[in-house]
Order: sequence, then structure tokens, then C-alpha cells
Amino acid sequence: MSNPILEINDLKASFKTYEGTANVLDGIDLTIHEGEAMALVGETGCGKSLTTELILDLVPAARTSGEMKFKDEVVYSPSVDERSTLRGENISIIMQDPMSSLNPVFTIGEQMTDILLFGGGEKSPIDYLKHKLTRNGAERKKARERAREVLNEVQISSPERVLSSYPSELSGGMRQRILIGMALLADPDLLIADEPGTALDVTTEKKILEILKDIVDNRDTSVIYITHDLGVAHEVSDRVTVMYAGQVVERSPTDVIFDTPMHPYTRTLLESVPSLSTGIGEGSEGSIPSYVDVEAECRFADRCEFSEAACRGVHPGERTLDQGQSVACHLYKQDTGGRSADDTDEPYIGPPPWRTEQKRAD
Amino acid sequence: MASYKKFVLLRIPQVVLTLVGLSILIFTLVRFIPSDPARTAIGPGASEEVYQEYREELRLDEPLHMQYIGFVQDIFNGSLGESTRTGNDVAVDIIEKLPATLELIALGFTVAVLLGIPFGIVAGLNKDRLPDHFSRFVALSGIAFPRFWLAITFQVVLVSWLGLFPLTGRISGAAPAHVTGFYTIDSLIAGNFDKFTDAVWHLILPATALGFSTFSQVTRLVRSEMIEISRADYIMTGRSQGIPEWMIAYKYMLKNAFSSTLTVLGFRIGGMLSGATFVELIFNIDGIGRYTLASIVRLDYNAIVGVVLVLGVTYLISSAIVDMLYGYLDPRIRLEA
Ligand SMILES: Nc1ncnc2c1ncn2[C@@H]1O[C@H](COP(=O)(O)OP(=O)(O)O)[C@@H](O)[C@H]1O
Ligand code: SF4
Ligand SMILES: [Mg+2]
Repeated sequence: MSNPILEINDLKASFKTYEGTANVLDGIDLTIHEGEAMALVGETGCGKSLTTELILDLVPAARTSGEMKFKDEVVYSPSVDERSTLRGENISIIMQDPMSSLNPVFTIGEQMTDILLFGGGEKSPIDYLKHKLTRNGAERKKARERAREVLNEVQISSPERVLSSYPSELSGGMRQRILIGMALLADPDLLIADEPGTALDVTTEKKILEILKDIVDNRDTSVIYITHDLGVAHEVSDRVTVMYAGQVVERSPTDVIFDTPMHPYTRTLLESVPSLSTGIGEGSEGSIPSYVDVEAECRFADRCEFSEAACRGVHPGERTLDQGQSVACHLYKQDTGGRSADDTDEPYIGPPPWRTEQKRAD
Repeated sequence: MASYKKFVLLRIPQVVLTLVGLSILIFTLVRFIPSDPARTAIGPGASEEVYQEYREELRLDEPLHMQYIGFVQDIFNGSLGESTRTGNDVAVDIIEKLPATLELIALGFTVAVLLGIPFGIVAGLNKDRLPDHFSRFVALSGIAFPRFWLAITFQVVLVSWLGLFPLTGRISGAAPAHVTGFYTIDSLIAGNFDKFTDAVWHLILPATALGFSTFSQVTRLVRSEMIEISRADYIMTGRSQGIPEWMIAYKYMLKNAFSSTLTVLGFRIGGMLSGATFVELIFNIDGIGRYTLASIVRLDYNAIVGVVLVLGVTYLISSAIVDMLYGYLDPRIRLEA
């Protein structure tokens, strides 16, 4: 496998709220490799956006711990925090809501040229004033030219008109394309697309996903697709990471997870009609537990038909299975690397019915 | 830009209609005060004949709508009717008294806005840190201390104890030759720079007393807007693309914060006009506030109606200016027109 571009280890994040401390992220591990398309899947509120926003240090209210490496360099640890330097050129996020993610009082052109001319944090206010006073023609023209290029890339047919428009003059689909274009301006190595197109109608969503996939294929960037819809993940990703309530519950190559979903939560996700048009949730009962005073160690325990005392008391570590899958659930045996299973303290309540059926079929 | 012009033009009929409505309202309302303006004006000793004559002169015996029609006719002749108190045309009185008050408001308002905005920004960007606590203290005192209290405290501390400012009045010695009625402007026109500084010196304390609550309001408003906007999605977008923090704060957040603050500023100008009375009384400034108070006490119908109309016009003009600036700052407003 190619080199990892981004590694996240044991990422935790909590917020102070009026009800108490909300422990949202409970030790997230993620690795993205170069050129890889990963889908981060889970229902709304499970912490997908938060996880990716923390990579770029975009959530000042969060109290955070853990470790992150970008291209083998530590960018976040108890003693280092270089995350904000990754913004733009290294990693770029296409924000979730196209309607609210563009500044309403500046034209698209101004927002895009600002990114090109002042993004990266090396320019000072003096540079800005100089730029405004001298109306730096050549530089500005170059920036606008580049902005037009990326708008072409996201298949906007009248880039000049769009550049001189304010967000409120443009449709949702247009704004979504612009957000994608903006994220491309600085040529990032890793692109994060937060529920691209979800806020729009189905046809537009499909189109947006196509455009995005083309861009990713052409540019050969690594990408994280955030989605609550396994159907989308199936279309666009090589690998799927499933999250539930601030925990990673399953990882798998995309083609494998649809045949052999392992985690009980993944199975409910799949049962609830994963198609591009419908969200999830109709078929699965209950909702994500409150992040304040979460008691169960497996946060899915309240909704899981197999849960036992062990699930509430012991955090299910990830167990590696065959076919490149891994799952965090006590229904599976810890991969002991050759030692006998009795050497581990992990409780084992499995095997799950679908596993035994499968075994029998073998 | 065409839509912007349309946006501005659309306001003109609104302004006219509002003024007509306001004049009818106040014209009728004063006439419901259960007291007799003619009697109040000529005193209890005057004969019945004189009294009747005076009532006729004031058109008080005609039906209400005829009185109003007469009033409107007068306006087209450049008159607001005679003041029963001063004997002058109310329009003449107002032109004489208004500049002193406008001068006060102009300075108070400008300083309040020019100081309030940076205060608010710094407080908002440093939420719950020292600058924020300090601004909260200042802002609260602007709300807690009434204008007259501030004015008297200034006089006691800064004038009596420290002798830093003149106690009352608008100027030492003679007023500059009358052109606009604004002493600051007139003294500059006359080329008398000493008189100009003297006039400004006289303005500082009353303007501060008048503008302090506006200053604290602006501070609080800009602060809360900055905090609100710092959580907006588009701010996160800007950050995620590597836009530097100074640009996020002073360009991307500020323009948004300011366009919502503007609306309130329009209201404040009207508020300052009515708040000027106390300040004028305490600093012995012969402005429109004192004129209003005296007119009310003497039941001077024409003067009361005239002053209220001036208040209305000032309010409408300032809110029209605010709207235009608003449309300029925020494309969403402009585009809706
Ligand atoms: N700034 C914040 N302050 C408090 N809570 C937050 C903040 N940001 C996110 N959260 C909480 O974190 C949880 C996960 O949110 P999010 O990452 O947006 O979920 P997802 O993207 O998976 O729908 C939510 O319960 C949300 O309330
Ligand atoms: S650990 Fe227990 S509760 Fe959690 S998913 Fe597995 S069986 Fe269910
Ligand atoms: Mg989200």
C-alpha cells in the first residue's frame, strides 16, 4: 500500500455545555493513504464533521487530545500544534452546507482571489493595504484567471458572471460547485468533502458527486468523503470507515463491506435502504446517545440487540478480520497475532449469527 | 447598480407618507390635551374679547380638519404658525435653536461610533478575556448612568475640581458671525481658529454626556455581532482555506457585523435628539431640547407640532441614510429591492 498521507491517533474531543461536559470524540484513529478515496460514514451527529474540522484546527471551542501526522510529520501532539499551517495547500475542506458556507457580503470573485492572494497566512495587513491601494493589476488578474480555471473545472459555464455575483444571487447547486472550486484553488494534497450535495435535490446531488469524482480522479488527490449514506460511499470510495457516536466501529474495503458487514451498527445502516435518494435512519431504531455522561463503553449498546454487560463495561478494541476488515465489537475475537485467545482480557460474546451461518457455508 | 438606485428611490414616497401621517397624528393629539392654549398664552387676567380674538387667530374655533388644512397651507408658505410663547414663527425659532443641538449630536454620535466600533471589535475577538471584561464594565455604566447624572458628574469632577473644561454655554464671548448657526462651522468660515477651538472645547462635555449611552450600545452590539459571526459557517470556510486570522476578523467578520449594527444606529440618532433636553438644561445650551420643554409647559400647540415634525424628519433622514449604507454594505438587502 502507498504511503499514509494523514494519520490520526486516539483523537478525543469534548465540549463544555450547560448540561456538563460532552465527550463527543472517543479516541478516533484514522489513516488516509496517498491517492486513496475514503468514505467516513455514520448518521448525523456522530462526529464526522467534527473529526475533519479538528484536523485543521477549526473548532476553537473543542478541548482536544491525540496525535496527528501529515506526511510523516507530527502536526499535532501534546507538545506540537501545527494544524493551522495545513489549511488550504495541504488539506482543504468542502464545507457541509452550501447555503451558509459562503460569505454573504463579498462577491465570489473577491472571496476566491483573497484565498489565492492572501491564503497561507504569510501576508500581513500591510500587504493587503498595499494591494488595495496599488490595485495590483497583474497579480489580481492572474488570481482571477486562476479562479476562472477552477470554476471551469467544476463545470460552471459562465465563470465571469459567477465571479461578480454575491452568494445570494446563486442557486444551491451553484454554490456547492463554487465551494468545491474554492477548495481546489490551493491545490491541496488531501481533499475533504463534507456531505457534498446532500443539502440539494437528488439530481443535483448526483451531478455534484460526478463532478467531484472526476476532479479527484484527474488530480489524483487523496480524498475523504463524509456521508451518512452508504449508497454514496459505494459510488465514490475505495475504503469505508463507519463511525457511531464518536467511535469508529468498523473499517473495510468498500466492495467487502456490502457483502459482509460485521458490526451490528453497519448492518442496521445497510438494512435501512441505502440508496442515493434516501437518508438512513428510517430502519434503525433509536438515536445517538447524549454525549454528556455517556456510560456504556460500546456506545451502540443501547440500540444493539446483542449487547451484554461486557459491552457497557469494557471498550471493544478493534479486531482485525480477514479481507482487510476490522471491527470494534465484542462479538468478534481479538486478533492475537498467533497467541491463543485466552491471553487477552477482551470479553468475547460472539459469534454473531451471520458469522456462524457464513462459517457453515464455507 | 441600477437596483441600488431603485432601492434608494423607493424610499422617497415612504418618507412623504410617514411625514403626513406623523403630522396628522401629533396635530390631533396636542388638541386633546385637556387645557386651553389661548388662555395659557394670554394669562388669566385678559378680557373675554381679547381671548376670543386670540382663539380666532389660532383658528381654535374651526373644526379640526379645517385647522389642519390651514396648517398645511401655512407650511407651503414656509411657516409653521406663530408660537404663542415667543411670538415668532415656529419655523424661525426652530432654525435658530436646532443648530446648537445638531452640533451636539453630531459630535456625540461620531465619537460614540468611532470609539464604540473598535471597542466592540476588540471585546468580541477577546471574549471573556480582559478587554471584554473592561468593555462590559464601560458598556454597563453607559446603560446604568443616566445622561443628567453623567453631565452633573462631569461638571463636578472635570470642571469644578480639575478646571479642565468650561462649565456651561456654547462659546466664550461673542458668537461668530451667523451663517449656519453651527458655531464650529461659522467660526471656521469667519477664519477665527481660536473661536473654533473654544467652541469645540465647550462641546466636549455635553457631547460626551449625550453620546455615552450610544457609545456603550454600539460597543455591546458590535461585540455580540462579532461573537455571533465568528461561529458562522462561512467564517470556518475562510479559515479552512488558509485566510489569515487578521483578514478573517477585520474583513470577513467586520463587514457582516457592521451591517447589522447600522440599523440600530439609525434609531439612536432619534434617541439622542430627545435625550438632548437634559444635557442642554444642565450645560445651559439654547437648543431645540430646551425649546421643546418650554413649549410643552406653555402648551404652545404650533411649537410642539413643529418640533415633533423636525424630530420626525431627522429620524427619517437618518434612517434613510442608514438604509442606503446598509444596502451598500449588504448585497442581500439591495438585491431584494
Ligand atoms: N462547537 C461545538 N460546540 C458544542 N458541540 C459541538 C460543536 N461542534 C460539534 N459539536 C457536537 O458534536 C457532535 C458531532 O457533530 P458533527 O461532527 O457535526 O456530526 P456529523 O457531522 O457526523 O453530523 C454533535 O453532537 C454536536 O452537537
Ligand atoms: S460491543 Fe456489544 S453492544 Fe457493542 S455492537 Fe458489539 S455486541 Fe453490540
Ligand atoms: Mg456533519
